[in-house]
Amino acid sequence: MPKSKRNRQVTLSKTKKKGRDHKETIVNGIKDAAEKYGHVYVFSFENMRNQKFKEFRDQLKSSSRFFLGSNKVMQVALGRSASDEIRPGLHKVSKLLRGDSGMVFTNLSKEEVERLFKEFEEYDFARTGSNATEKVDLKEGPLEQFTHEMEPFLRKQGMPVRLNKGVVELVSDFVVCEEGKPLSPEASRILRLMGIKMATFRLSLICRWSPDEFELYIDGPDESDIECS
Amino acid sequence: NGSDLISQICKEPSINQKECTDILTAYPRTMHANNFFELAEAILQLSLYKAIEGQKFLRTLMKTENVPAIAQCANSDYESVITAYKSALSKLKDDPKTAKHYAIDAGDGPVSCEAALADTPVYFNFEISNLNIQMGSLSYIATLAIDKLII
Repeated sequence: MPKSKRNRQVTLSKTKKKGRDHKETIVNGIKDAAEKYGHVYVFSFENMRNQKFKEFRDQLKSSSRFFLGSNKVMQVALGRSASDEIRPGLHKVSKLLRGDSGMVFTNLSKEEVERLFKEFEEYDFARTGSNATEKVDLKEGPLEQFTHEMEPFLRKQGMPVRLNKGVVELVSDFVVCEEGKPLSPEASRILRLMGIKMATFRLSLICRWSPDEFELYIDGPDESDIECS
Repeated sequence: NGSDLISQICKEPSINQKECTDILTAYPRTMHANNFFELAEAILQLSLYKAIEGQKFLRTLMKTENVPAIAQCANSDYESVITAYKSALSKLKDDPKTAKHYAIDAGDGPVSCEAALADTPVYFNFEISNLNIQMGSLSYIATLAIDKLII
């Protein structure tokens, strides 16, 4: 009798990871980390650059473990109240996981963590949609930083340019971006070509937990707010 | 319907509305989206397809143009774009915030490519620049669509 193909076994390693499985993996990872490490920090981030963040995380991987992603899943893992937190006081951390934030479990000293986060700052070119940190305007005249082959491309970005004896020339003043206004795709491209960086990727500490202590780094919520929120 | 959803994405003030609409309405799957999740998924799939095709184009160009920047574009920049979109798609359902980060990351590849070309003396390829422009726009459009899932 031929072997039935309908009854064949499927190894778990080949099954597609489902949403619940993925979440359980994160939850279990957080619970494991809570047992392994002595401190937890919540941090916020601005202008996230994944590659830079990975490098920072790799730098600390021997002593720390980072979690970044769904705040809700992280909150559930930690416990949202004193009655279901996985270690005493961790629900306070849970309450501060909101917005663009993540957490790191670590065995590094408080001083070392504070130093590392304070020193971490990466400048990069701003992306479309982010707010310009300054006004950039170009005056009428030759643009010697651009080659003549780029003239059609620059024109496509909305710049009033022409070629004059092989040199790209701005025929009238042109505002690339205004301070505080969102960058258009065209503006972000021009800034990149001009080498102007307007984005600072930084991580800021929000709070610190240890078995016998809880510390806030930010102004605003006090402990009673965290307790009852 | 898809057309209404697309118009909600493309009306953002910092975007070129015509460009956005033209890109999205040319792809049948975006027009058939019934909700923002389907639309975001369709946009990411479109972006991934365009990135793969773009990389193929660049690799073909590498064979005829002896320009190191093109090799960087093809083998590094667009490879990272493809990886980012695949990651974004894998995260979209369970973790749209992370998916958004990957979609944002995908926009860095074409910009890096463009910068490399700009640093190449006496060389400019309009086809590559047009590709980079479109890929950059798709990244931003994708983030706008995913934002609808996060709110």
